[in-house]
Amino acid sequence: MSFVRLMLLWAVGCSVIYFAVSIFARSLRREALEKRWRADNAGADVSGREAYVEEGMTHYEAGPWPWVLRICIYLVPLFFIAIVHIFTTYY
Amino acid sequence: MRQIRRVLRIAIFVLVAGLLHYVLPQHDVARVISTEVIRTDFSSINRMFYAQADGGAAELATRDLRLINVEKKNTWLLGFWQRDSTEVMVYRNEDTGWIWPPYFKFDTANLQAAAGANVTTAGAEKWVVITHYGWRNKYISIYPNAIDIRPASGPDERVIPWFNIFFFVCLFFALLMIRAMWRQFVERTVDPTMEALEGGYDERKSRVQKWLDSWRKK
Repeated sequence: MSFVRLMLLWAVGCSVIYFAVSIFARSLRREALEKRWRADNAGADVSGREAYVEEGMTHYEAGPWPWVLRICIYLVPLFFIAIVHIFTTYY
Repeated sequence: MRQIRRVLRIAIFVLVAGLLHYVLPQHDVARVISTEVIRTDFSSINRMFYAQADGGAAELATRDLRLINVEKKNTWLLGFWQRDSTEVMVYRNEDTGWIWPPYFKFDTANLQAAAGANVTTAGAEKWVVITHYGWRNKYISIYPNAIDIRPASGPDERVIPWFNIFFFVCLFFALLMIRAMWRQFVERTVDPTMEALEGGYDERKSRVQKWLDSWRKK
């Protein structure tokens, strides 16, 4: 029963962290895309920027980074639990 | 106001430091004198300083508690500075189970056997390193929980707290990360919203307000 509670805590806690970190990562990517557009189109009108940024964000969503984040955030705590459990109980 | 903020900050710091001091592992160089089992009746005061029943066992109001009695070397500064004196210490030995603190310990009975195997006798002193967490308090009868016992190289062994070093490095990076996330949120979300509110207040009036204004102009 306490193992079920631990897994619930893991699922909820990791989801909260993933939610926050994914917003952060997307925000960083969006800012970088805006800056890159500005560097490439110095002095131009901002009307073309929106489409460029949205296309870049679609690329980002389809790319590997969201999966890297998911795997790191959800698997690292499981790995930590396994390592600590094995070291305290078997060594 | 500044005083209140300062007091609050100190209180939070003391709470967090106390929690970490309670939960993080510490190492004692000690000689095991004896092991014993006592019947324990928890009260609402000291219940939170004990773990739950052993893994697979039922939770009752009263249960037996394994204790390890040792004579340990004294230290200053959380074990970084060793002293010549010794003192007696009593550890409890309980499963932490899957919940709290996150040691995921299930080998209580084996650990008690290891403690028994390392009982020191006259003429053959055995020094061990005991890893534990928790506090000893005589007034509310609480004991630190032993996590691991291993033979020490001698009474002067200096144990390097690798886990704690790793933990504080991780904590530092986690705090930096939270700070960066917060700054990004303020820069990209809060500030533009506030600017839009201040700059374009008139355009953002609600429909009801516009309707009211249309009456007022007449």
